[in-house]
Order: sequence, then structure tokens, then C-alpha cells
Amino acid sequence: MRRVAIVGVGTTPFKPRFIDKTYFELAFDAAKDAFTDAEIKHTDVESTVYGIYNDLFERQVQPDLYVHDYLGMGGKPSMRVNTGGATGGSAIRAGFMEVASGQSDLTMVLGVEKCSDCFDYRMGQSSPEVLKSISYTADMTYEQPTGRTAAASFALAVIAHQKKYGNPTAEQMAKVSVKNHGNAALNPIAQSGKVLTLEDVMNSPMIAYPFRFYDNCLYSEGSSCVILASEEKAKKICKNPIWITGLGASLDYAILGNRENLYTFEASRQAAKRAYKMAGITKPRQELDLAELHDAFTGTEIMAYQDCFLCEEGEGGHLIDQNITERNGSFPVNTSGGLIGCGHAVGATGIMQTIEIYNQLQGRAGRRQLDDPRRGLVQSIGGIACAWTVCIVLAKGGYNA
Amino acid sequence: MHKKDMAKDWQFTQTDKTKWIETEASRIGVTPFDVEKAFSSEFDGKKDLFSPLEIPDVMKVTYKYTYGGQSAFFRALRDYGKLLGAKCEACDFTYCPPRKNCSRCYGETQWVELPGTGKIASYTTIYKGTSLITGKTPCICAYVSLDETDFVVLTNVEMDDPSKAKVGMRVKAVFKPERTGRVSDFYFTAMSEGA
Repeated sequence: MRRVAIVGVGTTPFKPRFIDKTYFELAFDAAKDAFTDAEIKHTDVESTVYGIYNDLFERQVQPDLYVHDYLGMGGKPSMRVNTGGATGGSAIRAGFMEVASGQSDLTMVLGVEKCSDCFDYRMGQSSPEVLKSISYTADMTYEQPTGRTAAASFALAVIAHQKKYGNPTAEQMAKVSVKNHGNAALNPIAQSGKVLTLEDVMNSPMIAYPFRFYDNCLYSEGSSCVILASEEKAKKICKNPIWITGLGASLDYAILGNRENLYTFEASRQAAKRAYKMAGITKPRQELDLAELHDAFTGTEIMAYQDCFLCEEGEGGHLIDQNITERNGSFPVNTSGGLIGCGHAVGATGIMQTIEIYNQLQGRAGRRQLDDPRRGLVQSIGGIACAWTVCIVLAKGGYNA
Repeated sequence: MHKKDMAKDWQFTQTDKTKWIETEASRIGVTPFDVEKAFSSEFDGKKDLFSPLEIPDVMKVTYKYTYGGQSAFFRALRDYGKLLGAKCEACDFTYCPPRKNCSRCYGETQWVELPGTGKIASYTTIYKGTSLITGKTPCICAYVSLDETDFVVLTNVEMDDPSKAKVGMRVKAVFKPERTGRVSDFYFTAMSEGA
């Protein structure tokens, strides 16, 4: 297997809506930004991977056809990846495989999502129609008719986790929201500029018990792009590539009766184990310096601490209580602001998270910059109660530094 | 030519607002009132050639969907008000929701009648729902471990006070009087203490 590096990144801001841009125009902005960063032309790209989640959001089945066209990529090998919320992570995994296998030396991985063109005319707002579009991901025969939302799917796991381990508490979850909104306030591409207090979070309206409004991620529109290169190519065109040293994925049972329990996300545990094994990591808390974990909800960030082996089973709540995952803590999580603060432009999200780690490792994270981090983790999850997970380990310096 | 001058000499044809609203509302299946509200700014006279233009649209597909090997579950539900499970004898494992083939040993399952009782394995109360359940919130969505199965079923639990829901609470299936062959034909309610 050939080594694979990230040699350039680009992204649009994440916003509730771009009324002045379609999905392919958003993709264009992110791609152009990435080509500028990598100092390449679009004609240099050998293959493309598109991460786009929901055709109903885009009002277009197979929207990758029109992105590829608009980006002037006609004739190049291409595929579209869709694994729900994990689409961005999966797209990077697909791009990695293109390069690692020798199919390509320079691959563009681009995630894009609209959502707020969905509109519920009766309510006069987008959200209920966005939720409806997402609800078709639930098993249409047995589950979708119950009205379960994405938030409810994760709330069911968090309630089971609380019952088993006594956490995360409402206050611990609120701390995650305050932390991530605080980080987002320092991130120029972030959707939220709000600085919140625990009270703001804990008094916000209930969405799906135990999640209140500020426990939820933001619906966003946006596009993010990374350029992947083989080792030989990377050394030619880039002074300081960031290496993908670990990659692991898992798709768990989507019908939860088939799972061993409701209170852990086995997909995340398996994906993390595989990524750590590939990266030669045995003590992730010591050997990694930071992580971008998929905080679709505050409670799921806390569950991710244990599922990515950053703490013992059931002890996720203590990490936030002890301020360990704060930006100035010993293991910062979601310096970008995460999905809660930066936003969740579904197909682009895993790529946005990867770009944050990339920027931190390059010393390009502006006011969020940590002190010389060398190795970071991305966790990208999606589907019913974390059916999919992709974990990515990124490192700077030499491949084995 | 400067951008703002481009349409300066063109003949402007005003869209007939009333007719447009009626046509579009009918085309996407919403009320003219709601279309007018959503598009009020389109007719405020402040738009120029370069203003973003939105249009009402809808994607809709109708189906004649077959339940295939799961049909007996839905016939039992609709026509008899009964809940069936699917048992794999080889694995001694009972599924509900049912499946014709066992995902563990790849054998065939057998239909078994279930008592329709169980306990809450986890639950949530939904306050902000999708546009499909507007007006029906708050509603409890729960995983119920069904008696005589090895499975959990995602279902709605109806309670006067949703805050009384608890993990471990005993519940029983209630079949609606008018049924259509969908899982929404039944829901669960709390059983009395000790049941």
C-alpha cells in the first residue's frame, strides 16, 4: 500500500443558507480554494471523489454528475460516496484508497451539501422539511413511521448510556456545547458566533429528550475539499505534507435489535481500533494531541470519548468535567467548534473536521492554534445511532514521525 | 457593459402574482396563502436581474410497495390485530421486526405469534419533529424489548405524561381500531404496576 498525504485544503464558510449559490457553485468555491492552497491546476487532478449525502437536500438525484461537470473534470475517474453523516470521512477513505492502490497520484476529495432549499410551506421554515428529508434514511417499513428524528436516534443511545453509567448529565452535555460554541467563535468559517453560558444551553427548548436546542448540531450549507497525493507526488509538489497514517471504518447494524447493546457505538470502537492499528497507536490519549469528534449532539461527543478509547468505558463525562477536552486542556476536542459550533454541512463535515486537524498540524489555525500538535484524530459518524464510523489519523513531519 | 446597466433597455414583463401563486401552490400541493407568505419578498419591487431567484418545487414518487417475505406480519397486523415474530429454530433467536431469512445462520425463520408485551429498553420524547408529524409532538419514541423475542422494536409509547417514561417500564401493544397495514397500526401503553 502506498503512503498518502494531504497536500492542500479548501473550504467555504459553513452557513445556514447560501441563497446566492447552488450546490455545484459551493463545490466550485471549495475546489478553487484547495487548488490555490495546493498550488495546482484543476487539470492536474487525476481522479475525483464526491461526498454528498442527501439527494433530497440537493433537489437532484446523483448530484455528483453536475459537480464533476461544473468543476471541469470531464473524463476523469470519479465516484460519489454517501454514508450519511459520515459521508465526508468516507469520501476521504475512498480517495485514500484511490491513491494508496496506485490508481491515482493526485485525487480531489470534495464534500458539499445544501439543505435549506428544503422548505415546509405550512410552518414557513426549512427545519421540519430538512428533518423529513433525513427521516427517509430510517427504515421506511418499521421505523420511519414512528416519527423518529436524527436527534431522537442518538437520544435513545444517550439515555441508554445514562442508565448504564450515570452520565452524560445535562450539565456535562451543556459544557460540551459551551466549549464548542466558544471554539467556533474563533473560527472564521464557523456558522455560530455565539458565546454561550451553561444556563443558555440548559434553559434552551427541548428538542428530543435529553437534548435541548444547544445540544444539537447546526444544519449548514457548505463545501470542503482536500487534495490527496501519493508520497512521490507529495514530495514533488508540497514542502510540508500532512500524512494519513491511520484509517479505519465500520458499519454497524442499523436495526438495533441486532446490536449487543444500545449504550455504546460499536462502529466507532471498531473504526478507531482499525485506525490506531494502522497508525501504530496503542495509547491514543498519550500518542494523539487533539481530535475532531463528530459532535452531532453534545451527548454523542461524550460517548465518542470512550468509543475512541480516549477514556475508560463510561467515563466520558469526567473528561469534560475535568476540562481535559477544552482548547487549553490536555486533550483538546473540536477546536473547530465541531458540528455544534462550526456546523454540519453533511457531505462536507468530515472534510471540514479533517481540514481543522490539517490546519492545527500546519500551524495555520489562527486564534485556535494549539502548541505544536503533531498527530490528530478525526471521527466521522453517520446513520441510525452511529451505524457508520470512519476514523482518520493525521500526522505531520515524516510518515513515521 | 456595467452589470447594473444590462437590463436598462429591456422590456420588463411583470409576472401575474395571483395567477402565479395559484398555479405554483397547486403544482407543489400547498395552500396559495403559504406560497404567498413564503414569496412575499419576490414581489416587493426591490429585485433586479442579479437577485437570487427561488422557485417552489417538489420531488414526489408514488409507490405500490411490496412487503415481500414480510407480508404475513402486516396481514396479521391489519386483518387480525396480532403481532407476529419470526423465529430461527436453529439459532433459537426470534426477530421482531421480522425477517424471512436469519441473518445469523442464513436459514429460514418461522412465524410465531407474540403476546405484544415488553419493556422499554430506551426512549426519548420528541418535541421538535419532522413536517410529517407536525401537531403530534411531544411524542415518545422508544425501543421496546418484546417478550418472547431476542429483539427490540422501535415504536411509539402513548402516555398522558411523557416525563413518566422510564427505562425498564413494562408496556403492551395497543392495536388501532382502523388499520392500514403499517407499523403505525399499533403503539404501546404502560401496563399497570407489577404486570
